[in-house]
Amino acid sequence: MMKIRRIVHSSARGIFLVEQMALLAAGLLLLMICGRLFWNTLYVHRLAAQHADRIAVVDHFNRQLQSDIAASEFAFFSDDRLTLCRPEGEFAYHFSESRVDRLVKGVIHESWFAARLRFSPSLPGPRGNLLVIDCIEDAPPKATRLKPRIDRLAYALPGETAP
Amino acid sequence: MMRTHRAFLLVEVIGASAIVMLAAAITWYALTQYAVVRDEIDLRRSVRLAALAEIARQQAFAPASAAAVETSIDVSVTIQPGVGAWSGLERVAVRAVGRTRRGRLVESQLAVYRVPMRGAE
Repeated sequence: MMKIRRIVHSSARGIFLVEQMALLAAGLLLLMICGRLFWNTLYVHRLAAQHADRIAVVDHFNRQLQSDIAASEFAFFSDDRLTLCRPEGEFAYHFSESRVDRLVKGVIHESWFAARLRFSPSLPGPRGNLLVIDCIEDAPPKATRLKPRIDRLAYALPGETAP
Repeated sequence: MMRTHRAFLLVEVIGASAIVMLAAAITWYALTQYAVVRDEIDLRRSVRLAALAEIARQQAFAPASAAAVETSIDVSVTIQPGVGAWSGLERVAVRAVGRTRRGRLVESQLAVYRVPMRGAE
């Protein structure tokens, strides 16, 4: 009789232990999924904020350069430097890989730069009056599925080569 | 004898799991929807920039390969002679069309008048 009682008691404890283990496993799995989602959400928000920052930088640069070119009588590009001749004086844009400086009389008035943003200017075509600036947004290091985004800005430069 | 320790019932565990899974599914849906909307906003911007780049290329009389845009964006150009007060100029209309990952069309149309190239006609 005693033997049977002990067996029953041990079996109940075993079942209770198995239930607890199963609950722990399920809980850990759900916690892992929720944690992963939580961190992904934070990461995506951070990426989106950085992306918005780069877009704002590129748009502001685009607007400024457009208005400067529209107000210029003559413009030429050489050695990563765009020189704009305006009635009130000479303006220049100096391009480096991750930064663009706007210079008035040799003094930097404005600069555009952002994390993981590169500027690549070129003068395609035989006439030399089309300035193309590729604003390249590199993918973050851990995001393997994201490709670099390229915003291609183009400007018709005024001057002798224009019709 | 009254039972002091009681394990969770299967129904309770399933109910709790269902609630947590529902919360996870809602979060996942919000994330994917956010990605879809952001993709579309980015595409709209790319399409607009492509149209502007094409306008600049036309104004500079550069060859077609000069300001090539992304292959996912189709750009078409229509050039017509200006009429009325615009006679003597050319009207350049640019239409850029892109397609989202879900197949939705995004379109941008721009038009400018330009001075015809000297000696072109």
